[in-house]
Amino acid sequence: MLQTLLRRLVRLVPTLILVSVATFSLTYLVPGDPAITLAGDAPTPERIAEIRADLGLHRPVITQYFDWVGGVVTGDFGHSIYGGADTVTDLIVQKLPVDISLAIGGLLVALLAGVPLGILAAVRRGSIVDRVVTAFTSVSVALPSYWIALLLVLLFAVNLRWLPASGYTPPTEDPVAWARGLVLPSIAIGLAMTAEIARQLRTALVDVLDQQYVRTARAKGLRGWVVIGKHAMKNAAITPLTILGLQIASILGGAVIIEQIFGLPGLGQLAIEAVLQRDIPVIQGVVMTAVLVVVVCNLLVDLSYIWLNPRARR
Amino acid sequence: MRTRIRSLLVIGVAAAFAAACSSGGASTTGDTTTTPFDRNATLRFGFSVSPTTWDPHKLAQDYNNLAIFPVYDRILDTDPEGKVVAGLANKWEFGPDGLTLTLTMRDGAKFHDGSAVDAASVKANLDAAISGQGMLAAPLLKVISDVTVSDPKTVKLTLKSQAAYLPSVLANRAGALVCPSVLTAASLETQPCGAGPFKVTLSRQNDRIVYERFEDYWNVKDVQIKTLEMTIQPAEATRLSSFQSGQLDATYMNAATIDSAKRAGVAVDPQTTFTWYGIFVNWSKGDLGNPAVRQAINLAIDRKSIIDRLSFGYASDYQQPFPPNYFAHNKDLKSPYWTYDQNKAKELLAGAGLTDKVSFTCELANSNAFPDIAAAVQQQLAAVGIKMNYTTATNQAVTQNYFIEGKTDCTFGAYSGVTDPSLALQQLLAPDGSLNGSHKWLKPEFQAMYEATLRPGAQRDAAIHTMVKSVMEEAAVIPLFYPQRSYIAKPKVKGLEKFPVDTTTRFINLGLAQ
Repeated sequence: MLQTLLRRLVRLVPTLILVSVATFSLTYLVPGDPAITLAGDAPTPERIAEIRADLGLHRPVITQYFDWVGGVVTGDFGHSIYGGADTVTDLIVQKLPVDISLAIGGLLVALLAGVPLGILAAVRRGSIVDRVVTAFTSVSVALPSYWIALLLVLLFAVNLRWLPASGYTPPTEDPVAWARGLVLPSIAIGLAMTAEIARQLRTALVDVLDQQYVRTARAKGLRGWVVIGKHAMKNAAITPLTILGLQIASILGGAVIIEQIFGLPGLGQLAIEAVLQRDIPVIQGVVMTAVLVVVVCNLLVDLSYIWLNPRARR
Repeated sequence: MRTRIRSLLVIGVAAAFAAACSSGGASTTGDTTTTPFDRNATLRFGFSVSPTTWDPHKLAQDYNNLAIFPVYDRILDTDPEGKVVAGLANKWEFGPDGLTLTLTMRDGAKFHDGSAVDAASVKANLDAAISGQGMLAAPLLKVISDVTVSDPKTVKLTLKSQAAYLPSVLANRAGALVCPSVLTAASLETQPCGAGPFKVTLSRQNDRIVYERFEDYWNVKDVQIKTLEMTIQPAEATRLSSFQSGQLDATYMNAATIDSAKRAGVAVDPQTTFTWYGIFVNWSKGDLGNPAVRQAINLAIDRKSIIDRLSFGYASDYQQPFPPNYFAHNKDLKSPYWTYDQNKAKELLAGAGLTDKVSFTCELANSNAFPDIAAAVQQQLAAVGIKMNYTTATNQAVTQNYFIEGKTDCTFGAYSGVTDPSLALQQLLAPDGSLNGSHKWLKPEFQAMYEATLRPGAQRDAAIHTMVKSVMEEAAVIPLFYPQRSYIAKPKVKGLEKFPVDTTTRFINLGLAQ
């Protein structure tokens, strides 16, 4: 297992190098000169040159790259071009809890709703329950998360006033407010994932439930939930798990819009501001963080395959 | 200023907001006299952006003022019409030659760290703002050659040249006073310390700022709320839903969202602010140097249809570079100055021998509504035989190509005004003006007119009005419309009825009714 883990980690290195080159290249690929943006109310060519020198943009590209990578390896993404006391790492660390909260919320919604629905549909295959679940999942996958978000805000925040329409409270400040604030965004971001998991689990479970070893388990007199939970789910879970891994990336992508709608001060909002202001160090920091999160999640999914399916260790 | 344009181009929001209130002796707007305030109340205000630093001298954009002015009182202040009024200094006077400015500080003002606001603290702040690292206030203060403390209450500024605009500059961020104890401290970036009506108790960038009333504030009797919670939500729709769900007591809507608020049953009161959208023309380039062409452009543009189509009907057809509620506006000129008249435009072009011969290309930012506005203008100009092409580019490229290098014929932009009319006229018209793509005076007489606006004294307003008249006659700038904004507020919020000309709410005599 340890050997497999090391092998997978080594395989990540070229990916991360490629991503770092692409991310660093943003400085030169993105149109617009950040020095002009920074030059303030009365920019003169001299002032712009001075800022360019301050930002180190006059140095050879390769030097800039290695300096930057050296910083990234030690967790130092540099400073925002707009200055301020916070480093890019500080900014990301401040924002990341919002996205982690949102991801956990979305995953909870997806798992708590998706798994039971998938099991229910598989067990009651062909019944009205199965059809209702299938219809629900089809609609949920088709609906864009921003539309669901707006409907949720309209219904639960504006009209019923049960939950806040926007805002984020850190759990250390007020855990109840934190949880309340996350309910609607989590549903909005988790609904499509719920549908995906339910659909994939249903399909996988239907196959597994027809297999000999499951029939044997039933013939031994084991209860239905034991057969599903102990025997069928372990094999049926592989496909939904793959989907779950892929969904992490879509959570990060979807968070950009969900954060806007719910006024959540997360990485997505930071990324939007940085892009609009051509704040390249912040964009680079956010992109590298997102890539690392996705890579780590995929690695965890890979490891879970190995746990679920010993043949994958080879 | 380019920063201002960019900020509007980019954020599309900006500056805005503001309200009522008195400021440093300014008159109070709104019905704040009949209903007593709940002085222990918390006002929850929705805003769109938080400052990147709490050092006021390092901030470039005016839209930051809404968040920083509650913490930082300035040496002087402005009233809702933009006139300079007393601030931490209650008296200011230019010397007879206009080359000195003497400031007398008020009694009893204190910084949040308990130290007194005095002449020495003013000198420390101005010296730091002029010569400190990364101070964006420095260019506005460069006219000051020396700051002298005459006595504990009196500061004398010696100037390199006449600068009637300086009191206005001292009423903005450049004149904000920071506690001298932290002027050079790194902590100032994240922990503000000023002499304003509120102290910051929590500041999370682009999330939330919480302010508590500063009980030792020199004008504390007019600070009508105990706590101000500013929630930062860039998306207007989010602010609207937060307001509707009861999470905010007040916020503001820009033109694009006013109708949404209205449809949702929220009371709106659209008002014109200081920002205008317009065409910046390079009069060094071809036919655009001909006044008849610029005048014909003004006559050929149907501003009303542009307002209806592209600003959702929420904009004002003012054409001067300063709006009517600002003292620099020339009230003697007819309004609107240019009336849509295609035939007259054609006649002007024919008189100049330019029928169907005028052609130019604008480069404009590929953000905001500029491409749509340019398309509408292109169509209208084509109807009188003027061929306007346009290309789009990034904000930075437009800044570089038009404002810095003057390579392109024209551009479209949103101008949010400046601290003072002289500075605005300098930016728009002077050879070194940051918005003058042609880098020369449109006509030599403009230089003398501009210099007259720099002379302090009773004649200054007249000098400004004279120059504005000439700017309009020459069609030197082509404002298209002033977008409107609206506050939305719960009925119990009092004192938030009017946008002052600098669009920055002071949170003085503003609060919640008992």
